[in-house]
Amino acid sequence: MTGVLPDKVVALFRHVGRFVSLLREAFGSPIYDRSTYRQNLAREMKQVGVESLPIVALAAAFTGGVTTEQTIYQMRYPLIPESTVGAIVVPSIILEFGALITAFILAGRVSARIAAELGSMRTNGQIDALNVMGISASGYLIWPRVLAGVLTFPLLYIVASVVGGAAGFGVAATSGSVTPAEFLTGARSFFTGFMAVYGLVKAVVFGFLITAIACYVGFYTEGGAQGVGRSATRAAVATCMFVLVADYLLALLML
Amino acid sequence: MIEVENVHKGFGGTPVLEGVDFAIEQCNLFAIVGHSGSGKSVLLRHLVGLLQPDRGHVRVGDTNLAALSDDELEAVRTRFGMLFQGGALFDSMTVYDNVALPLRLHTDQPESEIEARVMEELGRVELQAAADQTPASLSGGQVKRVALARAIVRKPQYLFYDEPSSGLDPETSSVIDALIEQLSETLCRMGVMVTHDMHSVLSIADQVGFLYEGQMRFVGTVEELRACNDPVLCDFLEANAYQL
Repeated sequence: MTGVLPDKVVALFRHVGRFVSLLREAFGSPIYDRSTYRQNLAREMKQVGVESLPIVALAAAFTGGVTTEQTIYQMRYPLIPESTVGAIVVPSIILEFGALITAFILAGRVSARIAAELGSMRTNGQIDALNVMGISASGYLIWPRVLAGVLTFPLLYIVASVVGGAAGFGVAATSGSVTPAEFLTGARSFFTGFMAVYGLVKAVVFGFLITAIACYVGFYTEGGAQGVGRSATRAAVATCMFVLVADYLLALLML
Repeated sequence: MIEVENVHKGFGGTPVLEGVDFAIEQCNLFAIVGHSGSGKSVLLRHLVGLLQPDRGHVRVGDTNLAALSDDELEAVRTRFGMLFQGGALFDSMTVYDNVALPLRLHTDQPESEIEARVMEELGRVELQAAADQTPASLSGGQVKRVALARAIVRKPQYLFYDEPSSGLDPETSSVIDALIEQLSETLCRMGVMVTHDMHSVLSIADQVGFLYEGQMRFVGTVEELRACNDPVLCDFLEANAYQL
């Protein structure tokens, strides 16, 4: 215990302070050369977005399919209208699963990569090399990665929602329990524009958290190869946890 | 001129530097030697502002590094070049892009001028042919030479070398030594070198500092080092006599 607060709480506050300070430094640092930064941003957007697209689409398709199957199973009573399946599946995907499934995939795939990459740069002296060159390492390395997350995640979320909804529609149509027309009627009747806005806000927040936390963990890596491995694991776990917390807080604030 | 005054530094309650003092003149190559764990690299990191002393001052010219804001420190560092122990080249870039990076980020030079400058420095380290290769395809000696080209591409006033010949065979070490000597003598760059390689020290250094138990136990010329009368320094030199 440190004073009245447990050590872990003190450590958490310390991390939050360092995290905020690192981001302030990163986003407050000068952009030395626009062309280099644009190239770095494009590379990161490719790695975060384009390369994640197949796995996000696959996961979204299975999530949409399973959600539809389970909803059909729970709605098997004759008094419940068939359109209820579409009314549950599509909003669930737009409000929750589209963003959350994408976030979990990126938390594993992107945050671990970013943390390992920056951790390796730290242990190999590349971050120090940037600093000694008079270049703000935090600005040069963190800025493009976080911006790529914030810009790309909403696009992945849209893909996940469309693919998840389409997979749900396909499963419903082939199930024999719900007609395609009933599924679409239900989906349309409950869908509002706010749902899409809410999902996009979540996507931006998750995109920021996943990349920023990974950058923080990787940037302050200590130790050699073991430290890099530890950072990759920590980043994946921490981003999952913070995504869940943010998901809950956004639901409280916006729904 | 670089002045180090009464610098103290500890980590987790363990003192590493305990009142280090010395000064380096322009055009001089100053070698810091000492046993492993004596704090040589920690001292070098103070000189480039990567670490701040718990007490004391590091002055580069008239500037006290500890008193600078991050932005001011970045500005001072544009006068620095540093050769890191492992080279610290960026794996995702080619040799050319590694060397060009400081120019692209700090100057408004058109790419044609940057190319001319980069190829000039790659020529100096005899690696023009490797411009399109990635660091992963280079040998340890080539990585050091590219890192040296990157360190000097902006014609820095101060050059810092962290174990420039570690892990290299004697022949490649000699090549690196010759480059460092050339930079110090012909271009009048002030250099600070941390090394275990006493052969390099005696061949190319102008001044030597022997770091022992957190303090500069000896500071003097190579000739004064050779004529040592301090038993601790003599023991250190004898232990490294195989390199001489």
